[in-house]
Amino acid sequence: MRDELEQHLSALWRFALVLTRDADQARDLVQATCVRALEKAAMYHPDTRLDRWLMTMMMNVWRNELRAARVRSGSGTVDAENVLSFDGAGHVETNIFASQVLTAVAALPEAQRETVLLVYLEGWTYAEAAQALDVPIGTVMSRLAAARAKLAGMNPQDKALRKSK
Amino acid sequence: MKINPETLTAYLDGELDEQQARELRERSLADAQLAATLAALQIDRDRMKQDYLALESDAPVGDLRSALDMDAKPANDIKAGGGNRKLLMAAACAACLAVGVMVGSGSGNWASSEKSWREAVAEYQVLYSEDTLKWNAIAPAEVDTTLKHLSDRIGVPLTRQALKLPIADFRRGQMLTFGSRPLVQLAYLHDGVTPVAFCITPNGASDVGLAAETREGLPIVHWAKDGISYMVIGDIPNEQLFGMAQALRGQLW
Repeated sequence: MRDELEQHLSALWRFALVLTRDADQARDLVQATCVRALEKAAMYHPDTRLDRWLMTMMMNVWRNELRAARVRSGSGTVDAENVLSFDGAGHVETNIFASQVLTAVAALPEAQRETVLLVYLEGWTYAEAAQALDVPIGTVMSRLAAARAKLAGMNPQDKALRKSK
Repeated sequence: MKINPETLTAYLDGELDEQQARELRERSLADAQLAATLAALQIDRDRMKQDYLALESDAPVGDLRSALDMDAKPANDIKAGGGNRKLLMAAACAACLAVGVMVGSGSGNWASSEKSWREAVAEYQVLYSEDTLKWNAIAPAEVDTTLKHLSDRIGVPLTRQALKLPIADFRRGQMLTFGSRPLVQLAYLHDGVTPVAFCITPNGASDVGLAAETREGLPIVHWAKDGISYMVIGDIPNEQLFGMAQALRGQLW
């Protein structure tokens, strides 16, 4: 497992960087994920793509342990599902993304950012993302619709759209 | 089919089934407003993916590989580098936490490494008690040999004189590793009861003066000089710990 992990370090790094928006945290998150993967190596099924297994594991580590630790420490986080605006901009490490579009992705609320990361950046299907995020596929669709409206530089005219059937 | 932002997005992402996609395509041909909405929702996914993949060029692969080497070692090889894998996990998480709550922290790799090694030491030191050192001191006849061995490994001249402190007895020294780098731990018993450790690792850190912090509930005073990082850690009053750090820094150089 160690050798297989080494082949995915760069991919895990880019994934962690978008997830955490901080180079130091990304580095530590990759290490924490590798530790977890070594512990859980016996549970890995060869038919599963290793990179996706690791990325799913990384999201769980990030959510369950690191983010929870931030809350326990008193710094707190906002429930991603309740954030409707560009809440993330203030937390983005400056100059971490040279790309304008990745900076826009980094500014998305966490739930939308995770979903965009899986579907638009990593190329997962809606169903695969829903399974990894443990949410209904409709939630994936609504997150991507909200994210796409922001990334495309427009606000969705929900009411007008919903009336046209 | 109901048309809403979700179905339009799914259409653009190629996630509608064939019949739904055909229906929406035909409606957009007949509905200029719908066509305009679809056009306005377009994003350049190829460009986005390209920029994302380009992030890999900045990945600190060397550091990550070193960390992986340490993580993959059998537990008895790293018993003093961070305890065991669970401890390493905790150390990595705690380091991440420390970075997360730190304001204005640097983003360089060495800065992260600096925080991580001190966290790993703190995780280890918190397990020490008076009994750990009271009955487990190095034999006086072996002190010089041990210090010579440790000095050679980290390139810092460690002698009895340089390590002598007024109210803390030197009990033992041992060679550990952190992130593939040597890490020396010199253990003291302060005032006969409290374990205090003086740790040294050559990790390429930039020079830093004496600075205080707390990890795992233990006060720490740390500094760095000429690419070597130092720290003293122990549950004693801050001013006494600071005094120890000042004395050791002065005596070593």
